[in-house]
Amino acid sequence: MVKLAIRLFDRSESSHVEMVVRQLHNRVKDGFLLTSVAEADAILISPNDPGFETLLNARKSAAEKCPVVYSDANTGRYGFFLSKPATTAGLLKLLEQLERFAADRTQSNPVPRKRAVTPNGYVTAVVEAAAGQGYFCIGNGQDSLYLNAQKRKAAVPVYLVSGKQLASRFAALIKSSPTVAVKPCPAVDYEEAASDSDFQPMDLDLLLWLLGANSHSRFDIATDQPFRLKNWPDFARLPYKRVYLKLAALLSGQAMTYTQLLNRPDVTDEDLRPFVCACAAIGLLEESEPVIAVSPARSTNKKTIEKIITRFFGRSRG
Amino acid sequence: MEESIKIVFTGTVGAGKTAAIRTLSDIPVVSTDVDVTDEVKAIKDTTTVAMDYGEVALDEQTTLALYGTPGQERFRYMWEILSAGALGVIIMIDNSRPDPISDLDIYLENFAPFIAESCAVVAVTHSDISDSPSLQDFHRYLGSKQMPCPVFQVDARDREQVLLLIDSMMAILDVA
Amino acid sequence: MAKLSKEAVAQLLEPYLDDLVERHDVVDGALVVTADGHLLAKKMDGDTSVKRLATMGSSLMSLGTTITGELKMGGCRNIIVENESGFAAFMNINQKLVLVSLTNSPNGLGMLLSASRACSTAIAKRFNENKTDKPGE
Repeated sequence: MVKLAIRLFDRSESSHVEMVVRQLHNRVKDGFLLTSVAEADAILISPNDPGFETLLNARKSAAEKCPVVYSDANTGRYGFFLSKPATTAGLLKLLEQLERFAADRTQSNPVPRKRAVTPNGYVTAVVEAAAGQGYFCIGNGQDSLYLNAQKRKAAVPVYLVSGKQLASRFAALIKSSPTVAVKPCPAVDYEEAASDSDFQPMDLDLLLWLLGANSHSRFDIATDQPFRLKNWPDFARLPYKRVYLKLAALLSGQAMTYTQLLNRPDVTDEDLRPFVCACAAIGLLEESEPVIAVSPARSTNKKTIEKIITRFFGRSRG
Repeated sequence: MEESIKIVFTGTVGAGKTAAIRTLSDIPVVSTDVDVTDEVKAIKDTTTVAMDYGEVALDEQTTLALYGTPGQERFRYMWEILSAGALGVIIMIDNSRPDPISDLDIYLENFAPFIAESCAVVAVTHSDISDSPSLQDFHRYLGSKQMPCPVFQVDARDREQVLLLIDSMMAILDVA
Repeated sequence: MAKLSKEAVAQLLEPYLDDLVERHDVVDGALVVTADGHLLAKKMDGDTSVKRLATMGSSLMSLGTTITGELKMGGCRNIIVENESGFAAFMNINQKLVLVSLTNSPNGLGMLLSASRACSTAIAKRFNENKTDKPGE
């Protein structure tokens, strides 16, 4: 089964190829599986696509996703080509070529995947609890907070939080790793806390985000494992710095390693580490093969961007 | 030489395009509202039929123009006219409508060639009235369309939240 | 207040458009559209996309009103679009209705405007006479 993403902006072309893929599916047991670009083994792309050259070059350098050119004529410069309009015979031929290519690549270059960012210590227990269904109590014997994992809610003592930020005491709590315990608790414990005026209700994702961003020493980072974001974090509800928006923009379109990100002039370890740990804590990180982003054809003048940012946010905004 | 750059706000009727522009504009928003004669009357009495226009002075030489499009698809010729040369588009979706994902699809389809050359940010409004579809549903849908855009639930009257939309757009353009 | 259906309004408008087009050789077609871009009645041959023309008419008139307002010139009476094949005139009938009329005669602008203005006034008067007839709702 070859995972194919169709990146054709012409709706009728796209619909036609989808129809032919379905026709082929009825004839061949393991044909094409239509999927997103991030998941795909091959991408069907038009020479008119603004990202056409970028994708072709990406293949030459990284040999990862196979671009398949969908065009009237093959000029010979493309590795994989599907003639317009698509037919089941054409797709069948392409399928054989892609399967052969995939087999060769697996033999010559197996790519093991490892976790890019892994929580350790008690943070592992919190993240696992949050991914579950039940009620949990997190405490160090002195301070306790409660989770309702199913409803994605938490009840946190008011003195531990301040708006979307952590009080210093909360920061101290999550840093006091050896004494923090995460235990399942009865529903009634959570309900009592949630209705107690000494507790503040909080979205569980916000709690996890704060936990990740503030206890990043509790995460192990594989600096050579490419990862991407499954989607943008909800910055309308999660505290952020401007550089987080840039990181989200970078990582939502492509997979990069921690080292590659650090090599960018506008990214520092001080910003990057809390961001990736916070994203890992709320389950947004996804390990991936290094996919090169397809940039818009028209790049925007950096001075224009700078003017807008300065006008709305001031120069000091980090 | 004086320079004018623009950002376009589009999306469903009543999603808050005019309100969002109003929160940012230095000048009173220039509107082309007329009386409603169809089912939109259930939501509001007037509707935009050509454009909304707001303006932000960036410096002495540069103006940021904020254009709002009519929401209804029958005005899509205005979508093309207004988006020509824009930095990006903010698509505002009213989550209290019957099928917000299909609404989003209309704008993604119509703006697809423009988005391929620039960028899009999705703003979901009226989530206080209906929290379904969820943000995750929107992300899943955008993923299937190979469009990993930011999606935020916002109140179009809240300047900070509207600024997040602009800020995200700048971040995308900055790394492109 | 009695509100006429769109079909009833269309029926009411058709004689006015028939009169405009049939009595004036220079007028080759005419539409009445709502200010928010819905087609109500038409008297036009050929393949012209009248629905698009209806919405464009509403956009144009609204823009015209916005422009004259910006210039502190009051309301906008009409907008004229010209090319080598003729003219299109967009004219506010009242707050809710717009008349769109066309001529294929390169010398027909004066006649087009004069005939269209008379038609627009007659329609406005018709709706004004009986205010319980509220168009387009």
